Amino acid sequence: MTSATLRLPTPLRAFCGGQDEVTLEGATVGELLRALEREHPDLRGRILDENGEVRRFVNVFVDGANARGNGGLDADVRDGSQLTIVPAVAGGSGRSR
Amino acid sequence: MDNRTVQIEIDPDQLARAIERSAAELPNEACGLLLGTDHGDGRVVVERVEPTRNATREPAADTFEVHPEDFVRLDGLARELGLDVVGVWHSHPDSAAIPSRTDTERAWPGWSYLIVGRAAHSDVHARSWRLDATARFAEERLLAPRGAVAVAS
Ligand SMILES: [Zn+2]
Repeated sequence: MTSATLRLPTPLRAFCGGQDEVTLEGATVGELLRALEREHPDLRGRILDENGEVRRFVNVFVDGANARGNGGLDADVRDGSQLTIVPAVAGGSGRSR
Repeated sequence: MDNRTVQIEIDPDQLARAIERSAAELPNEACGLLLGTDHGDGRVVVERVEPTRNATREPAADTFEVHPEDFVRLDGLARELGLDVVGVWHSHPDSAAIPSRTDTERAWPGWSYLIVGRAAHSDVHARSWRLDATARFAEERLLAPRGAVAVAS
């Protein structure tokens, strides 16, 4: 069975008992993210949207490479891979508001 | 989360990195991440102020987005150093260091948002903010130990 470590950013840790990393079983990015939601239901809707796709304001990196454009949820994960959940960190000066 | 004022301590040399980078990136917004420790008792200590690429697809003079590859790299660095990403910094090239509506809409709870402002007729200045329980920004108490001030001209 393939297992991988998911690293969570500070803003999402409140929804998984304050843990910064969770190790789960799954052979693809999608399987791992769904396993994460099953284990920590408070995370539902924060990484995957209602259609089961990765939300627009979130990126998932697998061993340093963005899964978006590299197979996305179907991307294979190696045993021992490190997934990092990356929130979009953005804003603006508001000059155009 | 209660609404006590959070105290954020930033080494003045590190704060200077954000101010220098902000000047170098003009007329565009500069951005980056704050690495440190959130002690969870209303006290955040920033050890490193790191710049990142601004990956915004909107005009960079008005908006910023931390490049996701830089986030992953700095998150890894923080982990190596026994620190966390505890916040975000960005510049306002021609307005005060007060969060805009866009800043508020795109902010995440639980992080400090340091802003380097450059308003007309005022010095470059830095202020820090955090979303409160009602998803509005409340100002943090920004301390730069060693007696330095959080203002550079
Ligand atoms: Zn801003």
